[in-house]
Amino acid sequence: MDAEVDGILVAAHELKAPLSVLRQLALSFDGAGDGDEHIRSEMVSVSERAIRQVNDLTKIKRLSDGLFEMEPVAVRAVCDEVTQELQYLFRFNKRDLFVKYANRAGLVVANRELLHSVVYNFLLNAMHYSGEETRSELIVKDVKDRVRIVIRDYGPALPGDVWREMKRGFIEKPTSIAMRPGSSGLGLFIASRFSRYMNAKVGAVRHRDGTSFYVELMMSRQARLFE
Amino acid sequence: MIFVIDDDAIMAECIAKACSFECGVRFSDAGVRISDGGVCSSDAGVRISDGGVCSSEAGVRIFGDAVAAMEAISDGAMPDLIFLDILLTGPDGFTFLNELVSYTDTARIPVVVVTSLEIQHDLSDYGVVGILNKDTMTPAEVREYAKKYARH
Repeated sequence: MDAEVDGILVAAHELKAPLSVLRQLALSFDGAGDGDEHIRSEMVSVSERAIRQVNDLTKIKRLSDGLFEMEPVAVRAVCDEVTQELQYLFRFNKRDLFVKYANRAGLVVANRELLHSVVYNFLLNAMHYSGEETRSELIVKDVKDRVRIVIRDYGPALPGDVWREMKRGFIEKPTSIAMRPGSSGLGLFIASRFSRYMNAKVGAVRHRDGTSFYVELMMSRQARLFE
Repeated sequence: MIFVIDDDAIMAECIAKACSFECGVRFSDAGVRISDGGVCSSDAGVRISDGGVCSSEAGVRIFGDAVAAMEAISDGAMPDLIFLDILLTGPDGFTFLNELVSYTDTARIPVVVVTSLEIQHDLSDYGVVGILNKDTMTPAEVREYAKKYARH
């Protein structure tokens, strides 16, 4: 693994403990004022998102051990879980989240935990780069013998170098995406790594007013036995 | 009496606080502070010993390492419940568990493991009655164990 990426993963591991402590402190916080409960839940929510990202990074290190089993996974259940988790965040940031299931195949070959992270990171990425009062879209559809999960944002266009990496189907390491302020491309990097582990295809489509990222997973043959 | 063994003093304080509420004593009233060295200090209601150990009126004692906790037990303090971190400075949590089950009187002490590690093994033979993940646990879960196992 690239030394730079290795360094990032070590740093992530070191961040785990302080982030867990921050979350516990927020949960233990006894505010007295009216708005304190709101501040407390925000603190918990922010630290939980950070913990999730750190955990995703530490999982990258474990991918090479092959510990994540592939199995038939209900794609809709995973997407529902993620959208439910992020719904509040979208609302809080004055963004809409539109979800559409146009797939007939219910099961894909994946690792549930990793697929959850891929969809989560793509959606979080979309939320960050969509402007206020705009919407992000999650669309699930069949493409031949695969199921494609598309996450569309209405943010700044994807820069050339990231675009080229996405076309190649793999992001080597997090990069600074200047046109998308505040981004290190970390979410895309994580999603890309997890997708590769699951033999899924990742890609992006550039639009004039944003970007669509997608991940394509093999339909589960097991599911067809019941059709 | 509840023991909290964690070398992260702030995490230990959070766990102790969750237990203390169960006892009807607000942990903040006990005046527990964490100093730079990660050692508890207090203004009132908290006893302090040299080994980074503190205890509150609420019946919760915090230990920064397994050795200090074992010494307290040897001195006669028999906890009703122990919240135990695994990755400790010095002997780790597994060593501590092993030490506990080595003696008939300490083997029966219920232990709740509090860790960020993903533990898949059954540790019930070591007196472990529960495992809490530091990333996802809540004060309510801590309180549940305190309520179930600790005598107040």
